[in-house]
Amino acid sequence: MSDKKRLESGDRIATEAADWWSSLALGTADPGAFSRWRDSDPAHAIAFARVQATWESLQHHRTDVETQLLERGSRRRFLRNSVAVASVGLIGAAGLLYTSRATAWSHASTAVGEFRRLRLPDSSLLELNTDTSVSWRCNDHARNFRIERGEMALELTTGAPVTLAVAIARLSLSSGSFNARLIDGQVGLLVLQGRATGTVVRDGVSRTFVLESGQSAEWGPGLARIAPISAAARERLTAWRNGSVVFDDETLASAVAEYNRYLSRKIVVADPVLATMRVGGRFATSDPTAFLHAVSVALNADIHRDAGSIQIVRK
Amino acid sequence: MPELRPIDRWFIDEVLPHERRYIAAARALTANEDEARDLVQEVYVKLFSLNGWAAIESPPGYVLRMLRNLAIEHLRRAKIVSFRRLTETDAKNIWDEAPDQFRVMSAREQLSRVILALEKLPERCRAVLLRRRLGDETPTEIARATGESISTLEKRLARGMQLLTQALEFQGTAERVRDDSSTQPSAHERQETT
Repeated sequence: MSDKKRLESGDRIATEAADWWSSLALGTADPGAFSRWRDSDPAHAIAFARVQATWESLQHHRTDVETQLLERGSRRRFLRNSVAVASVGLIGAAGLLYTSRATAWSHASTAVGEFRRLRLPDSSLLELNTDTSVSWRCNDHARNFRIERGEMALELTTGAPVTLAVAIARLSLSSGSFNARLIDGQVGLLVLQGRATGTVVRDGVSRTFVLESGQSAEWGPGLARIAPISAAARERLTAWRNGSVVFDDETLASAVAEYNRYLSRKIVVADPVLATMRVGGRFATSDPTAFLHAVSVALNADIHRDAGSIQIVRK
Repeated sequence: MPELRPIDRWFIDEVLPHERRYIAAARALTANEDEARDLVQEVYVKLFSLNGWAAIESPPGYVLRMLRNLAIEHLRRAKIVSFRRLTETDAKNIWDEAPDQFRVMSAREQLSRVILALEKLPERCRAVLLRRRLGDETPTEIARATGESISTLEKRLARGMQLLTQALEFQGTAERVRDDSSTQPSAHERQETT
């Protein structure tokens, strides 16, 4: 075949290769017909390999691709309508055509005020709360998760054994529903459904524990507590998954500290008397306006906003 | 996966990632971009008919040697022979197998190419592609969400992957912008030389 003919047929072959690839990916292809097509000309095999390589490179960069597209999207309204689903951060590691490469750690994070939902290839679900950084590595033999900072909910399907590393805690999780956090050096775990076993190393001593459904644990400097989860605590500790923050008769200081996890412009309570007053209610993590209004009315306080912070002061 | 044979896997993993080196070498040996691509493609085709591909110690080095031999063969067949290119290329040291000069594209470069290419895709192709890739939704889920038939999705996914592949092809070469309507290169873009 002459150069010219080859070049002209190149685009046709590229189209055919993409068509084959797509129908294989969506499960509608006839594998025999595909093999015959590919074997009939090395150029077919090359074109198909290129499409597959493109897919793998998308897979390789998927977290970054998603992040960058989302970042650009917020600036340029780039992702709209039908891709809106990506705005909550759905990503996955589809090993659609090929999965047998050595598994590397995948990584995802959220900025302050951000929320992300990730669906893994095994259908497990991860949800990342504000200011969170996590890694995972999943294959047929093991599913390993790591929280570097922040808070993550895990809905785990049955499958390979699951481990979760959070600072000083090394956990083995059954399938089920869990909430794990690492905030200010303190580790928290809720077993909403399922079972967690593991070890915690504190002061050079390793201790094992077992948590059943409905139990929670907290570990930190000078702190090790395993307790049942009350209905109120359950609501309060999982409210973030619905974009809410719930206070249940807490001091204003602790409520503000919790709210500030979601805010880039932080709320400050300088007045010590105000700080100890007690508040309750359910508010949106994305917008503190209603909370500030409730505080100003109920506690008779003034709200001052400047570029860097929101001050709650006594009238 | 059953659809990928060992030789395909080898080609994707060992040969393709170094494509910018082949193109750089081929460009120095040929008159224009299209000829360079053709030369590289010709070597790829030869690779697929090799029995001993698995035993090749350095696939990129092997491809570079094949490129050079093939270019010399072409020059010998041509009516007007110019060895200028060959001597120039020798001086440029592009046959050096050390990947310093024509290193494999860095992850960052590659990422920005992927992003750029994705941005250029038609909206609907990109949507399907991102859903399948990033969201890992099943075809039925995507179909339900977009209200389109599987065969429409299949066409969009194919179109998206084709455009993306085209955009990432021959990485490291000058951008050759092709829009949707003119995927065929026009005749004046290239000249016959052999």
